[in-house]
Amino acid sequence: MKEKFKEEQNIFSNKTDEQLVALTLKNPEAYAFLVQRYEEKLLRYVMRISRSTKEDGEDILQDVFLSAYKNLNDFDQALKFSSWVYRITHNKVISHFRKVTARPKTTTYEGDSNLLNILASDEDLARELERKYTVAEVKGVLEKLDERYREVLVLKFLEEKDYKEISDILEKPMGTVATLISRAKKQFKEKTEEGSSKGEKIGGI
Amino acid sequence: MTKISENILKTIEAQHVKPEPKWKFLAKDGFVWVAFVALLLVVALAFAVILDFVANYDWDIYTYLHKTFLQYVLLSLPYVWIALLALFFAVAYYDFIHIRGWYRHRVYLVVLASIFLSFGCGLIFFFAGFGKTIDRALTKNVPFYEKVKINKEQLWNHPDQGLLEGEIVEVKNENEFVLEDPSGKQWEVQDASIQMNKDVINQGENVEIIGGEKDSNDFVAKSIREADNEREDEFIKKKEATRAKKNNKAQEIEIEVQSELSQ
Repeated sequence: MKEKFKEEQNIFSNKTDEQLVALTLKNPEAYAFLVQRYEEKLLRYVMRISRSTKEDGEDILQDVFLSAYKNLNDFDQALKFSSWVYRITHNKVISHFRKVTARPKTTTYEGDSNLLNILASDEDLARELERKYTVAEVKGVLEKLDERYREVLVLKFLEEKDYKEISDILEKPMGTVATLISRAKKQFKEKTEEGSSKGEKIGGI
Repeated sequence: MTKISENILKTIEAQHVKPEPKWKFLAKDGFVWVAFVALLLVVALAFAVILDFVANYDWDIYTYLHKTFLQYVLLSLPYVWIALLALFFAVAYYDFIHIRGWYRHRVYLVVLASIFLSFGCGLIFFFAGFGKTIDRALTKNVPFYEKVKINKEQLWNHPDQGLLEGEIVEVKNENEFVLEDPSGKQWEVQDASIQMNKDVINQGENVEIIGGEKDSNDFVAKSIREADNEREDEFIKKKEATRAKKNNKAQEIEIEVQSELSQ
């Protein structure tokens, strides 16, 4: 079994996502390689934009991959597979939180220790962060942002998606994405300034 | 194999999960497109009805109703159709944002193109007479339609303000005829000037008259115009209703007389 898997891994590891989709439609076992490619990225994404614990995140992810499998014939070749699967994840997170009627919010993800540096790589945000806020403080501010603003910031700066990918994931025109990012940055600055003027640590932490 | 991928494959196998067939997605996409085109056609038809209304409305009589032109326009606009047009356009937009990859297009261009196309088709439908056909069909078959559209009877039923409508029931001479208004009241109408349109002064003709009330049963006409065909249908309906009422009253009286006689 393990040998067979290693053999398949050698064959499938060089395939593109789109090729793996085509292969999965013929042989469901190929799907395991797509899942492996995306499980960590998507789990991180789910946890960044939602309140879920790692266990809840994995449940959502299970749902995401099953849904993606059922809808493989709906995969639009005009998109990157990653954009398509991120879109499904985005929709599943929203419907999950509609079900539990809770507001999604950011949670600590161990992979986010570099969060401050990533956000600071943007020229505008860097100015706001120059006083070297802690990762926890930045996460606190992110949590205070409106959901739609938080999500675009996560996609742009933490998931490192470009405008077109964000447009494909959120199914919004590129102009709207640019506006959302600009407003998100503005709100991020306002929240950091609010915290500073009150003499508190930003994010109320 | 990781735990998640292993679980996914197990679930797929255990629950016999299979990818949905491609035709289902194609059918769904096709349906959304067809609905979008159909909704734009409905917008076009609504626009044709509005154009028909605007083209056939009596825009020149506002002075008789002691209103400014703007007041008259605001009172006369076919708001129901305008609201329906806006509603169908909103539904078409909602449908559009469910078309695959809609967000890749410039939305304002799609909206402008949709307005241009639907209004263009509406113009063609109007010239083809679809607007009038729809309005007549609705007037004939939908009971509440007459109540929601602009009531031209109210517009013309102001003898005190110089506006009168009805059917010519008797032509006395070249300058005088008897007119029955939709309520069943008969008017002696006299020609006040040479403007009287001799072509329309025929028995059974439905006319709209601008002039002035001389006394409770006499009306002096300055201008007479033929009521449009749609109005003829309304007159016929009204007259039938009035006659039915009269007949019922006559029957009631007859029954009363008979019962009195039998006693």
